[in-house]
Amino acid sequence: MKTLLRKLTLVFAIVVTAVTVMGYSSDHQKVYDEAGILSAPQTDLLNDYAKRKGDSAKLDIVIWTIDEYMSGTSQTIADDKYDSESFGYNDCDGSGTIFLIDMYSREIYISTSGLAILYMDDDCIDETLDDIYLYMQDNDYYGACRAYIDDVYKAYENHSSIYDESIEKWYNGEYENYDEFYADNEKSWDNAEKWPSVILCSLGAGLVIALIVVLGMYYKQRTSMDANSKTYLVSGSVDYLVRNDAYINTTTTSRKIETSSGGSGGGHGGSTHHSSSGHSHGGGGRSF
Amino acid sequence: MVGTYKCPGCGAPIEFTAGTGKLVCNYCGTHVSVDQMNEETDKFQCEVESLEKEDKQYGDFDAFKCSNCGAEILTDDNTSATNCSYCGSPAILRERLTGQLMPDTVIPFRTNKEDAKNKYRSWIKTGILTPSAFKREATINEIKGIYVPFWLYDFNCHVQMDASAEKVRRERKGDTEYTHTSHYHISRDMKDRYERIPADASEKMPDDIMDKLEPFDYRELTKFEMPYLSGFNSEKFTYTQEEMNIRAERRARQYAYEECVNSISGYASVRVMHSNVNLQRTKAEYSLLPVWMLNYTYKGKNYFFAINGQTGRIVGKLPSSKGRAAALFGGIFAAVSLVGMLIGGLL
Repeated sequence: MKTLLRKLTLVFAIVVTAVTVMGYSSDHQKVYDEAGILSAPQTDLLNDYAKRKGDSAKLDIVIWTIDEYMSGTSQTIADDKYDSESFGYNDCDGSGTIFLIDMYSREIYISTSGLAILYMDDDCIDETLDDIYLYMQDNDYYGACRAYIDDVYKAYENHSSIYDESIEKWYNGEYENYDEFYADNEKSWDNAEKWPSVILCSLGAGLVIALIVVLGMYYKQRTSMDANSKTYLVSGSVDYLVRNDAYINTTTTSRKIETSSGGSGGGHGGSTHHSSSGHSHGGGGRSF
Repeated sequence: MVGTYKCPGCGAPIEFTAGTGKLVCNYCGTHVSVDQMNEETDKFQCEVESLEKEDKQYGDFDAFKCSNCGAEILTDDNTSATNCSYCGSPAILRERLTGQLMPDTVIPFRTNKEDAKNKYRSWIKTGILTPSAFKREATINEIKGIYVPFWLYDFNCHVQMDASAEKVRRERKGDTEYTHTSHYHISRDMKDRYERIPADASEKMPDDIMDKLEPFDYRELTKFEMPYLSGFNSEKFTYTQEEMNIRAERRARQYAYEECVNSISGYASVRVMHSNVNLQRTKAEYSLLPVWMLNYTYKGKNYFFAINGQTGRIVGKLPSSKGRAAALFGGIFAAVSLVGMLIGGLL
């Protein structure tokens, strides 16, 4: 009986350990309102909302507000917080985002990690910041946080299906970190991204060329009129009684020449940098 | 009256032969020039036999008796030369070529029937989409040489024109571009002349096809003589010179206008503010011009091909087989798409 109880305790301990190690981070606190700009009910609501959305997106969606001087840029502050707290959907994954509202230096910053880097490319981060900024202007911090959660979730939903197979491998734990994941899959993403346009372009080219050839043959069979204004003109009969080109005036207009800068190249997901702990992060921010 | 020219050598019907400028007997090979045939008919014993015109009317057709075999030749109102459908000998309806109906000039056939057939054969080959029915010899043999009646008009033209024109110069200083536009006022008062603008006077011939057969080389235009028609078909005009004048006048007006506008050059843009074209018709000449024709009905639709009997220029629209067009389209579409994908896959 005693041994059975011991065995059961052991099994229970293993299960608890496994759940703790493998389990969802959704039990973590999601909202760290150190600046105290959210009311308690707001914090609870956001906490629930971020958990719910985060669970279905398999992302850790974190909000952190501060109102004191911290050394470093908002990028390093956000990245370091994310790394030091070991945020992430589960421990071996680390996928998620942190939204920093820095009331001291009046800056907002979104830092992405893991799959969130892939889901939120630079344009997506910009658009999210645009959405958030509208609320920040009105000092509606709750609204800003809601917009952040919504946009992260939307980015997860909108991610291209060409990533699906790679994401599967990511969840299987085949990669140490995002850099390895990116390097290993970049080519297949390129290909997958390329094929629809290659097929579309090829079909388009085939259609256009076939149309040109067939229509060309169709119209080639028609003859045009060869006689023109010179055919029946009696040579030397043209006589100008008046042939006068009178200059009137000159008008001048000016225009600024706009120089356009070249666009940046393609790629997948957002651009990345490394935090002090060596982890890869994406993200972006602005002042308010 | 139906006339047939007979060979001074053997008495067989004799025909004008394109390219030689002479009448050549198919039986004994005798060559006779048009002038000789015309002037010395008595000597060559080839007086045009005059046959009584029968009073019979077959619907819209007139009946004549062939001077060679005696068979009935049916013609419509406008035919002035044809061939007997039984013995093939040339038949010229003199009364439709004399008096008011006598042409002033003619351009004799230069390309013969074989040349015309060859032209048609090589032309039809270019039409990948053309149904094979058009390539059959039986179809090609239907080709007929016809002297088509034309009115050739001469015009004196007087054009007065006012226009505004612009010259544009651009220069760049730093990051600013300056556009200098110089404005001009253009005046023109021009006279010119056009000779022998043709308009076909036959009701049967499609105007657009006849227009596209141009230009004819008028250097070969000669005084009309009846022997040129021997062996060919010919029509008398259905429309008078007054009726066709409007077509030629429209062309003369357009030509004179173009001539005047083209004299305004060296400008970035030209806008004609006012123009006035005055025309004075100085002459209208009744002329027969040579055309090889093939009229073919395919799937209920009539196709008309014409070859300039002098220059060999071919006009007509080759019919397109929808099946062939679809097959070609599909083939090219598939091939290009496949190659595109292969290239795209390799890159």
